[in-house]
Amino acid sequence: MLTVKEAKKIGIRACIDAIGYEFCKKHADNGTSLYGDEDGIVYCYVGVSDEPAPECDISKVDRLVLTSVGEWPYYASCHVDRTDGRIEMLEVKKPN
Amino acid sequence: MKNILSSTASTKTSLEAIRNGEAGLTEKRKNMLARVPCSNDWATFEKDTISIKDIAYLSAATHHEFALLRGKTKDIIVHGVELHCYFDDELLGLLQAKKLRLIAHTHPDYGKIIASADDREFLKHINQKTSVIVSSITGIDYEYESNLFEDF
Repeated sequence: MLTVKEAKKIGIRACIDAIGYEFCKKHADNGTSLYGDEDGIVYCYVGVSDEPAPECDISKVDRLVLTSVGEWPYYASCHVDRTDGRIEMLEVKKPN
Repeated sequence: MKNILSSTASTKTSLEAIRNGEAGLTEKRKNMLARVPCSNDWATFEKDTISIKDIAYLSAATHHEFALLRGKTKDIIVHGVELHCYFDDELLGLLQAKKLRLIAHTHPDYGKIIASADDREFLKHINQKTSVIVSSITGIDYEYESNLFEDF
């Protein structure tokens, strides 16, 4: 039985590979990963943009925002079964 | 595993009932919401008295996004709008002074759970590596990171 962290590592890597490892590495400064345990199945998501990463200097903003929606230009998601490590890819949108 | 399954299913059922108006919040959560009744309200509470599940329930009851911040001596609940939570004026000042950590925020919609660009930039602005997004549909926590290659 995999731990949640072990499954997360498998799933995030699968998502990165699905989008393209070199692409993700090149644009790692403008991407995010997410994971959560859904009753023994770990959901993993990676989103990345090839736009220049925004400057994040808190001294220069007059507001911060959290937002529930907004798909990344390139993304992948999968489920990892903690019982056997099996990966089920869910969605993939990779660069051409 | 069976107990965990039951707990998750139970939470989802409970959240759905609240979302549909078929059940009400507990007294404790009603009191929390009474302190932040409207969008853009925020309030301080004793430290470690607010849980991630609490804001999931507040989000289910109001259909709004909520955030939980924590400092050295206090918890803060922020009541957002339908799909956003805003931080300006005094709250922004506290974040700029590095007095607060973003513990979690809710995603109240039925879509898939993702960490948005705003969510990521929030972490980068406050120099925090990870935080939690909690679904107000299922009550499940999801951890998100601003660094894709943290584990590799």
